[in-house]
Amino acid sequence: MKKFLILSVIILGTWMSVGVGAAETVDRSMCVFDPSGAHGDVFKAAQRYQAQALTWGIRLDLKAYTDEVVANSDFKAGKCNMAFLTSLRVRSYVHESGSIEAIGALPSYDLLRKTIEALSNPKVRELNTDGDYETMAMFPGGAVYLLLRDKNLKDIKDLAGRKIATLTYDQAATTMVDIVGASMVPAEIATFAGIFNNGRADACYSPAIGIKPLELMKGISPNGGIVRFPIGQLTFQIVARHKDFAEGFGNTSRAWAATQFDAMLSLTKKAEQEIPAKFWIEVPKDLQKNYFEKFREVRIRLRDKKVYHPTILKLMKRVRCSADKEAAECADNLE
Amino acid sequence: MNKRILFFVTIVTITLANCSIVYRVTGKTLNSYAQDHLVPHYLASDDLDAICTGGTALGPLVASFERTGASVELATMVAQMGAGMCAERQAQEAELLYIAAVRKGKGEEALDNQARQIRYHGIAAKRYGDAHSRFLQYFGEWNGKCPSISEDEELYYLVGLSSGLLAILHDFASQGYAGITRDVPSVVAGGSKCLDSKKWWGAPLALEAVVWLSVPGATPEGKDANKQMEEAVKQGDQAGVRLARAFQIQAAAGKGDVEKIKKLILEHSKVLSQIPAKKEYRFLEAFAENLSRHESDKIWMKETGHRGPIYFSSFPGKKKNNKEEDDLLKDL
Repeated sequence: MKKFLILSVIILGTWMSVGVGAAETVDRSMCVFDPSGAHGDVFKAAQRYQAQALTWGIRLDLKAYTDEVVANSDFKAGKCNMAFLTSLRVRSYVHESGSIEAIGALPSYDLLRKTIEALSNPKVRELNTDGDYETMAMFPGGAVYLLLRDKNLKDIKDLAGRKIATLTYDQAATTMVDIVGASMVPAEIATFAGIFNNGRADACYSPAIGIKPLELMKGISPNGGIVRFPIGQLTFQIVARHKDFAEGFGNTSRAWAATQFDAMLSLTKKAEQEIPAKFWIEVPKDLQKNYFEKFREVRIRLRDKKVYHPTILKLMKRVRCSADKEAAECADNLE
Repeated sequence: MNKRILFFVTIVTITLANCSIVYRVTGKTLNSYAQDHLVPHYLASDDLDAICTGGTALGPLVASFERTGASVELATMVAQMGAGMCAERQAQEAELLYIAAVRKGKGEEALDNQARQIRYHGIAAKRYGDAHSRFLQYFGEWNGKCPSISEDEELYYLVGLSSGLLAILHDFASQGYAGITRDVPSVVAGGSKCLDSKKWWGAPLALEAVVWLSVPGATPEGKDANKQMEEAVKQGDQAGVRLARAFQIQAAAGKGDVEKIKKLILEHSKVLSQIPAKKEYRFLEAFAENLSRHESDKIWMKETGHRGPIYFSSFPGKKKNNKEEDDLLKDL
């Protein structure tokens, strides 16, 4: 009887420890948008996140989507607990973190890194939460550049009256087109390259990583180029309903994601290096000011329209001014 | 009858003589082919696995032509260098598993992987040591004076010196299993002066400095090994062949200074994205990268239980500038 009792205790103990172990890991799902599907780099990044999340007690089931609209609507419908989307989409859930892509706000990767690191600080968790939603991670997706069929248009003023292939749902771009006095050629991700390459638009915009796959060189050659002045920083973000995750999960997740900055950027940097030097259009300092001023005008206008969150614009201005204290904007209080 | 026997003996003799001539000619052809085409092809490839496997597989074949009287020292030296790299990579793998086992508190697993690591270091030391012996065979024993080296031979001279250094470092790590003679470091340090450091991407300066840093009391008076290493690294960076960095990291790893190792690895990662590699010597670049990646993985494995990023561009728990960040976030 005593032996039986001991055996029962051992079995019960073993069962309990297994039970407790299993209870420590919870199952969650993530909708992942990657234009190349499960073979793409974003999906690979999601898999790294999946492995890391296991160490935090979350077993993530990943689902790849090649159409961001579908990924977004599935997340909205509650079909997954979190979603890996572009910041443009995340903005509709978390206004603050989605504003990091604001036009011309972060002209270098160092500034983007600083902003992402600052936003991963646990002290500013509220800048990552909005209602039921929380941004759990931010990754760089590459700077977006202006591509021109004619390199003589290198001053932003020269774009007046020109046609620019513009994503219709991209409010920043449509406002920009409006401000510079250009005209918009409505485009989708699937169509803008063709429009630019066929000459139906004088300019378009793209991150370097899209240039080769979309054959944008055809549009640039022989007389055009790529303006080396980032219009904005594309970012990928993971957004979630925070009630589905333990308290503090967001802070842990964001802190880890900030350490992945270089790994996420390596392909972008390679793509930028592969662009032949002759295609880069260097913008002289005085013309850079023109770009900067126009971009700022757009940011302020979009902030007033409640597209960009004022606090994030303020943070990004501080980041810029910490790198260049002498800049004219640091003396005023517009952003 | 006697005539028949005489005829038979004559035929056999002629055939044998012909065979030996054919073999010797083949050996010579092989050697010059290796020098003119195989080695340049190897050096332009960044596939370490292919080269190490090729070295292991072809080394004995190439070396066997020595029996025919052909001179195959240089070709064998390069093959053995590649073969040494195979064992080195296996030692690295065992080392990572050893660190992982220590972290998990698995004593037997740790001891077994440590034993494997020591064995592979031993094999690497023997192979690199053999490469170094071929170097001495070809250029002559070191007598304190530089031999006459043609321009075509300079690269082989550098490879020979490097293999000597690697042989001694791996022999230390294998508890002296390969029995590499302890005068190799002085040969390496002395021989490195026979090459123009700038022309060879700082590697000769780095070789000498690493000997100074690894052998107690070897640094001559008035010399600063670390400074010389810095100079070598600069030359390598500019040339796009970062072999000097590999030696610098080896030296730092020998000292066990983790903060310095981290700093050097991050510098290496950064320079790779800034200055493109020289196409003709991508193999040496890959070799240097592999060493940095391994040192990075060791740190990651110890601290997190897994390897680090492929571009060895960050470390876990990097301290941020909190003061600056507080300023940025104030009153937001």
